[in-house]
Amino acid sequence: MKSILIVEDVAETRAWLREAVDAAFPGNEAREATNVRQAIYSVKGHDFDIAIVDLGLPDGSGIDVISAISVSRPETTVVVATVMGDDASVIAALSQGAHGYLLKDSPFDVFVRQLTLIEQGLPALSPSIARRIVEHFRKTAVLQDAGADLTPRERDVLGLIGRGLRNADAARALGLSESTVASHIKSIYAKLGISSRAEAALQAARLGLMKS
Amino acid sequence: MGMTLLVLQPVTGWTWSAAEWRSPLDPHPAVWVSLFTGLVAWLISAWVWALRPAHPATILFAASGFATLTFCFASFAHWIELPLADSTIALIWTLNMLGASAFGIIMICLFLIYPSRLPLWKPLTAITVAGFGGWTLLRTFGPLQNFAEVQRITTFEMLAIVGAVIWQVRASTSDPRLHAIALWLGASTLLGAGAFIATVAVPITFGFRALVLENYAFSFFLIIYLSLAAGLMRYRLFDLGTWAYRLVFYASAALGLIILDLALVSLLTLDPGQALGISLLLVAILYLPLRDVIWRQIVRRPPAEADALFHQVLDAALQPTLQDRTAGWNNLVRQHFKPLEMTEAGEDVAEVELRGEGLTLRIPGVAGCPALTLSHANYGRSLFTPRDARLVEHLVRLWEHAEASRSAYDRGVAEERLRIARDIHDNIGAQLMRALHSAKPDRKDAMIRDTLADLRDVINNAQSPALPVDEILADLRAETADRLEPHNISLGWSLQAEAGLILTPSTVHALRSVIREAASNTIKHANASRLEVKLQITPHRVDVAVEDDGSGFDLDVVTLGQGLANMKARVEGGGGEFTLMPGETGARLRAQFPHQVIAT
Repeated sequence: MKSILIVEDVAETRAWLREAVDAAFPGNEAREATNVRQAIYSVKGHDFDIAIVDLGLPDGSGIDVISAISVSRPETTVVVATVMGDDASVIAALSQGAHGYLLKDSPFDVFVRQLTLIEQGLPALSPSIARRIVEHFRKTAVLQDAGADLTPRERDVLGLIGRGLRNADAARALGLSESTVASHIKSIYAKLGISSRAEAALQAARLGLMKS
Repeated sequence: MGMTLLVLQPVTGWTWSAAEWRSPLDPHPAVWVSLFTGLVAWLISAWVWALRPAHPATILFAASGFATLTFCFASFAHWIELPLADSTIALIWTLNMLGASAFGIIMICLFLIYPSRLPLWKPLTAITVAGFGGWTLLRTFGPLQNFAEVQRITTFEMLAIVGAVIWQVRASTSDPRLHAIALWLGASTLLGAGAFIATVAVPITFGFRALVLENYAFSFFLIIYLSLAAGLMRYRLFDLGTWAYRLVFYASAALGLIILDLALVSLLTLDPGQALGISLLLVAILYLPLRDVIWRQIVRRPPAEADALFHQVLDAALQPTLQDRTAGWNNLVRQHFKPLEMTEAGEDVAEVELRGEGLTLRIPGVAGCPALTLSHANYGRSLFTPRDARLVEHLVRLWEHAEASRSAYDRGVAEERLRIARDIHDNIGAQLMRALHSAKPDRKDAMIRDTLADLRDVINNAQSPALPVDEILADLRAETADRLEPHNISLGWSLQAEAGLILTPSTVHALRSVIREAASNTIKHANASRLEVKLQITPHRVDVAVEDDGSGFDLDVVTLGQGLANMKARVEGGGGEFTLMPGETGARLRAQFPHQVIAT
């Protein structure tokens, strides 16, 4: 039985998400939170298997909830659910430890299927976010942190997805299996976290906040 | 040198042998003070004259220095040990008297014409020269000779100087620059000459003993010459610039080096080479920092650091309103030059210019901020210099640059805002309206979804508007594939476009409408397994063909759905062609329409 947290402030959408969760994981135990404060409180008192987090919450950003979860229980699968969330905030969420993201305006069945895939560790990427990730790594490429940089394969995957190919199409184009492409994407998410920390450190150094 | 030699001569008689000379400590110290005073006064005045040889005031000043040299050097006949003939002694006293009186006459004349020419300066000069000159000559030569009279003559000359200075100060009240010079010169002259009169001339004139030995009192005259040198810096006396001052610094450095060198050689009996090295070292350690400190003290204007300047300019230039920017600019200028007065220049000022010999500085208007006239730098304590003018030019350039960047930025923001507004109005608004008026719930949903997708596109592509064709259509491609997948329809996508094409939002939107509508049709009606999208885009024309392998349709029976009808109307309204026909196996939709591109 999966334990699931739904963080969403709009009541209708929350109900819709609840339905989608029930369809994807029958017999789950779901809790709901409508703002950052409630969500962080829930996270402290309970271990969730999956958390579905909206980014624009009345008392702050869902990104705070995501970082709280990745600190207290990194094995929780965190899914960002957004509708207008711009690429930059989605990338920020991914770099804080989100495992994937979904668009809340997707048709119900598409949403359910993609939610299941993320839970299985097979996330997908939209073209505009793939392009933005490439951009992000290009900007932080100067960092002398080998772990924070992308492999050529990961760059290939991002390049194809940025041109509108989906995981399966990209896998075919590169002669890989779809699950390999998905694992590249997971690895890219993980590196986003490293590179954003490295970038923060670099910024701090530039601003003279760090001695040495 | 001659006088020094004379002083050092022993009682026994003239000799060239240094061993027989008196020790420099032997003569009365007042001798050395006199020599020093005369020499320094003469050097300073000669230096000023050398810088402005044709200026009447500097000529007079140089003459006064020479007169000082004369009377100082001729003031210690009674301390010379060498027996001198009476006639020689009389000659020395004559020189002393003539020099002292000439000094007074010259100073009076100087203050009649400098800083400004007083009314009636010509007759007054003539009266001064004739009066004091005649009196002096009368008492120096001939039957009425009395060398002691020199005290009385100089006392009255000093009084005349005081009068002339007060007159100068009063006459120049309307011109702050001349006023400042008159005050400065006048104060130093009064102090220097006045101290001498008070301590020596007045007591003697009234039959008392001098309070201070006359020769020591000469050094009061140095006040005049030294303060004049300082005044040169602050007020550009005689219109000499800062470089005049530098000359003195370098000369004194050289002199210091030589003296130090000599001292080391003679006192420490060092080898000359070694001494020179040590001297150079000492000069480097002591002189250079000292020079810097003195220089800053005199100029007393902190150097504007480029960094700080840049920040100040940016802070002010990036203010949102012209009013704020103007206030910022005025503040910036005021901060840097501390003018007593700052007014908007009525007439056009084309470039930065110094006027009234540095009394005012005119700054052209920059980027909407009005031109300015600044008067009396540093709260009236100094004048504007060419260096200030260069600083203003630098500021103006920085400001113009910041302004250009800001207005380019503002233009960009305005254009972007317009683009987003148009996008929202044309696409999002129209789509929401169609959704509102659509009767079928599933169609309503689809339209709202499309609208949200478009909205995301507006938001995200607003951040990167210049994407190449394949990337700008990437979301459409992924979205279409996502929609087809649950129905087990695969997507074929081919795009032929010239490299470097940048599409306008309206072309992208038209393509999106066509492909979305075609995909909807295929999903709903065709029972197909594959959808093929072929795009050909040239800089002037778009050709999109969408074909499926479904059951097709009977052209005679089918009626266009609401969505296709809208699309057909739109494509044809824009001068394009829209056709729907049976394909090889399924249905084939083709739209061709002209368009414009942002860049090729």
